[in-house]
Amino acid sequence: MRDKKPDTRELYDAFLIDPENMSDDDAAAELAGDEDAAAALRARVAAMAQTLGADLRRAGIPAPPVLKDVAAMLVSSDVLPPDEKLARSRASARLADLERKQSVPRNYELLEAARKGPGELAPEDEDLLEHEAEDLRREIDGEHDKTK
Amino acid sequence: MAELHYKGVDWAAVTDRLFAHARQLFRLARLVDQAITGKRPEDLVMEALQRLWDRRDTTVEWDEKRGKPTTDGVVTFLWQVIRRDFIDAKKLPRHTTTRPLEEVKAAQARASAAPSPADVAIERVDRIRRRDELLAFIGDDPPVVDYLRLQLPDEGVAAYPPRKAAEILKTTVEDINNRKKKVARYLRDFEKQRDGERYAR
Repeated sequence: MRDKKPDTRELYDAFLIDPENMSDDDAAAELAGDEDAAAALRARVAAMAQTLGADLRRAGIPAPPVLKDVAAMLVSSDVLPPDEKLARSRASARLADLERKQSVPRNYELLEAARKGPGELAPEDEDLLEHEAEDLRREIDGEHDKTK
Repeated sequence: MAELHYKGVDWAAVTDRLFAHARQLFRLARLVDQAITGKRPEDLVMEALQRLWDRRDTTVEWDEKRGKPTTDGVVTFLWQVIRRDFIDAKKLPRHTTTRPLEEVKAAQARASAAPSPADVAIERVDRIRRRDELLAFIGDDPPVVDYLRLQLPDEGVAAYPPRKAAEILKTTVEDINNRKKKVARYLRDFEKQRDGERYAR
């Protein structure tokens, strides 16, 4: 055990990942399964940037251009930022997101899709299918006769 | 003052990464000292961003000596702001705005006073229980278990800096950083499982 009691900064340094060591994938993993909360925060930040811009202008202070960029970038993840380099990076990150394999959340039940083959139909379903097929055939023949 | 341009900063990435950091901060605090600030991770992220952009607030400003702002640079800078705000918030009693000033001062005086031996004993038992529950959840992952046992011994919180921890565990700082990442992941999964169990009851 250490002689000196750690201060709060040391305590957090011992456990928390430094920003330089947290990759985008680490951040995505942290927010995985809680994307709604992340999207809600982005929307809150965008709204705050708009309100702050209006407040500053009302107080006679020019709003910094960054506020407009923030609102544009965060309102919808589908809107690409105006800067080309950023736009490319965002688009490739979006593609990587779509390609990333998603694990099934714990405690979720897998639902198996069931498909019935022709041999598995009940007799009454078989009759109904025959009847529908016959109707369809007659309808097609009728249309065909009209075009002659 | 020259207009500071944040061209090239991806604010969506900044928001997401700060949110991820802040969540880990809260989770860690729940493990080691059960900190309650009355704030949520997203509140701290919002406040840090607002203070950076609000020209009337000069407490959080990008120093041009840092160079041109980049996504990584802004995340690192605001992460320090969030950590500092979190530590400050922990020192304050909750819901300070609804209390008279005298009451707030009295609560702060109590908070800064030395805890009683009974409080210390209860805190110790709670901390050991939380640590052991996490270790039981982790199971067989010796490097991570060794790291947690080193940093959270029965006697208290050691919190050795990464370099010192690497020296004691005879490994590299890089390996220690990887163990920290694994601890963060285990803590997240542990909380998810506990939340799941709570809702299932």
